[in-house]
Amino acid sequence: MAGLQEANKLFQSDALEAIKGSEPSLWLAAPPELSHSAKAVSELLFSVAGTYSVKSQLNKLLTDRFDAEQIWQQIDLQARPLLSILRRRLGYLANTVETISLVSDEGSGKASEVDKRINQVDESKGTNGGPTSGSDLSGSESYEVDEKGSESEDDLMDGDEGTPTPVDEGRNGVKWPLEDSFLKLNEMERFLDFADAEDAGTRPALADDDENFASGSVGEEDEEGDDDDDTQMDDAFNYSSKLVENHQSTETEQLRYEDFFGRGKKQKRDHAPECNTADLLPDEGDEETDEDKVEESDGDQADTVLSNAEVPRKSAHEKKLEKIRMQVEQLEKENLEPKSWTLQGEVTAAKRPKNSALEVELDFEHNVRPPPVITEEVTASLEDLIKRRIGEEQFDDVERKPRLPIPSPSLRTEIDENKSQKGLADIYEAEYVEKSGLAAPTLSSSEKLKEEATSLFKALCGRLDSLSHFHFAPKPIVEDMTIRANVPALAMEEVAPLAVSDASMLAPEEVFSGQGLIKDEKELTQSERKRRRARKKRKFKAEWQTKELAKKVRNPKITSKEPSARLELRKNVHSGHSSYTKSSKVFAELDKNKGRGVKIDKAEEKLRPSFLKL
Amino acid sequence: MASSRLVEDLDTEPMVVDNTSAAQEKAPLLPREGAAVLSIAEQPQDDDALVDPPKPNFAPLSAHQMQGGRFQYRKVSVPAHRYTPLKKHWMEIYTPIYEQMKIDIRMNLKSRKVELKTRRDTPDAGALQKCSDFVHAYILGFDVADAIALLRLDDLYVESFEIKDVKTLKGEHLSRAIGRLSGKGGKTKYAIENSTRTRIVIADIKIHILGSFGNIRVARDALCSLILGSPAGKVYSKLRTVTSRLAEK
Repeated sequence: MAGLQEANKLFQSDALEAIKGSEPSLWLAAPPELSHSAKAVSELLFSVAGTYSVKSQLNKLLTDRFDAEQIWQQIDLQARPLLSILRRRLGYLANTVETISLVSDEGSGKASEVDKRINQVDESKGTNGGPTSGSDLSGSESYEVDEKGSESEDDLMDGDEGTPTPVDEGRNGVKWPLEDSFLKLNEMERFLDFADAEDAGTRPALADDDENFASGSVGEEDEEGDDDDDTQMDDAFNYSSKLVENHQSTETEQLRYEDFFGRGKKQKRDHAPECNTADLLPDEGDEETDEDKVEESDGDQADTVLSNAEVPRKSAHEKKLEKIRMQVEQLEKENLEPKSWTLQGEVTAAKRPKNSALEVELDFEHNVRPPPVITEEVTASLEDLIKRRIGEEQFDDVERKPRLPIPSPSLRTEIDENKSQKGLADIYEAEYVEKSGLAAPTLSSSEKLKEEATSLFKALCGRLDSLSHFHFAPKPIVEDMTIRANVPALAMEEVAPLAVSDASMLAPEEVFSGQGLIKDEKELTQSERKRRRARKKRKFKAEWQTKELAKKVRNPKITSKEPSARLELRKNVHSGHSSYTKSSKVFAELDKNKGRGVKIDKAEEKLRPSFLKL
Repeated sequence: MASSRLVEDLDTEPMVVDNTSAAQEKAPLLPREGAAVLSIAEQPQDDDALVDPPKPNFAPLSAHQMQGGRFQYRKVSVPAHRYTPLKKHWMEIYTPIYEQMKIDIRMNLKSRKVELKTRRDTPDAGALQKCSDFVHAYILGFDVADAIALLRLDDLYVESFEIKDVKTLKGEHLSRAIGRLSGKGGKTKYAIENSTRTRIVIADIKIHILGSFGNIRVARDALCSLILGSPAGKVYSKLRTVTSRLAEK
């Protein structure tokens, strides 16, 4: 009512008249009167619209000292929810309604149509005033307003979610003003229950059938969830097929009033209650498909509702199969596509989108022990440990590894490569004797060498000592089994130093080197004396002559008188070179001498071997 | 008379079983060589004093008696190439066998075998086998001084094997293997002998080793490794370790 009043005010306002009568060219200049009137008109319109929308955020359009932009935003705030619905409604009306006439002329029919529309759209909202306002709007030329009002009402009704309305009394059987042959609350309830029961197992989320039914808001598509999509798709298919079958027409233009509203009241009664719901549903469904195929969810929802009634119910198994089939198709589609980067093996930063690793929760092991928290207690304990260790002198110093004693080559067993002198039995015998202790252990070759070396060195040292100092040093004891021939018996008691003393080691008879019987001169007889003297002379002579000859040979006298011979001799004597190196020269000399006849000296003659014979 | 003397003897002298020949000679009336005890009939019938019956006096059996009073023989055949060396060293072989082991030995020229026979007074039952082994060792090629160890020690053995048992070698390879075994001037062989206290005889393709069991094993391993081709230096180093270990023991 308030709205009507407002509307009347609007229509009767001068501002509206002014605007209506104004020339278009005037708008270019933007005179202040026009703007003023425009503002006033818009205020009135806003208030008119505001009356019909329950959830208006602005009661009044504020234009005073407001920018055009701000005014527009206010209007937008109110009008935005209504725009989409308005568009649809307009489209529908343009298509279905054949004649558009003024409300006053065919107020009843149009109004009833409109009423039906409104009732259809909003069942549970139970708002007021829509149809009545529509019917009361008589004499108004602007059907826009009517439409707008109705549509705004519709939209408002759509936007409204479950807010309790004061007029809603029809739940408990009281006649609801919206109810008529087309819509029956009881039937609706029954349908809802039926739908609920059917969807109990599979689609419990589809509780908001009513609003889905009514509106086509895009936002509610997501609410249903993906599990409904497949069934809805199926239902949609089913429905569309059914539609084709039933109506035998895919074109929306060929759909008739009968399809939506049945054949009238008389014929309607014949149908079963389900048919009513069926009648209800296809209208919705067609409406949806006709108007906007973008709103798939609405269509789907409607379709699901449709299909539930039309097509015989599928068994749970079938539904499961379908569900699985859809899942399989989905999975297959995923498999064909390249995998997401998280599922690939080794992914470098270049292969994944930027900062995508931040979004994914990566889980990997950190093989790092958390660092120890250094507290006072920890430090105190460490210091205590250090002090104690220092006191005990237990420093964990790194010790050098003790080198193993390398067996010296002398300790290594030498392998004798010569044939062993002892027989096998002798070897075992010696071993047995050694073990039993009957004999001293035999020395190995190395030990023998050592002993030899020590004895040699001892001897050498003894000799050096005797040379270097005069004080008595006894001869070193050499354990020797051999008997030396010339060891004196009393050597140890000799007073004089060995270096000086002439004590011979030999006895006189050992020194004496003569032979035979020795007689003194006094003991000799004369003949013996003579014999000795003659012998002596002979000996002396022989010796003397050899000496002389030797002297002569060294310094030969040049006796020959021939000067050439002298010269030659001289040459031979004084020249260092001998002419007898060459055999030719030797023989030449011989030949020469052969002719001459060498004269032998008397002296030389004496030297003949026969002469020297004793 | 005799019986009274017997009684006297029985009463005064203590019953000592004296096995020496002197004792046996002293008491001729006492049973000899396991003869039966005096029968009760022969014993003095002295009913006055109860005398214990004489204890039996069993002298231990000699080796000859242990073999049932039979003489045992061994025959060792002599191949032709050992004939002359046997002749040369015959006295060295003969003397210890005949004098110390008390076994008769002779050379059967017709059959070309050395025959050994036990005597009545062979003290040791196993002497014959030992002598046979000794002669056999000499025939194989060992020196008398080495083979005589078999007589003196119990646990010496002679092991023989052929080169083909180790590895099949033919022709030049065989010759080379033999050369490797003995080494230059026999030094490898002597090295093995000296370090392992064994004696080795390499007779063409046969190899004989004389020594104690463990030493034979070591020597055999060394020889086998030489046959299989390892160089002498490697064998020496192995021998060194083994001998040092043996020396420690």
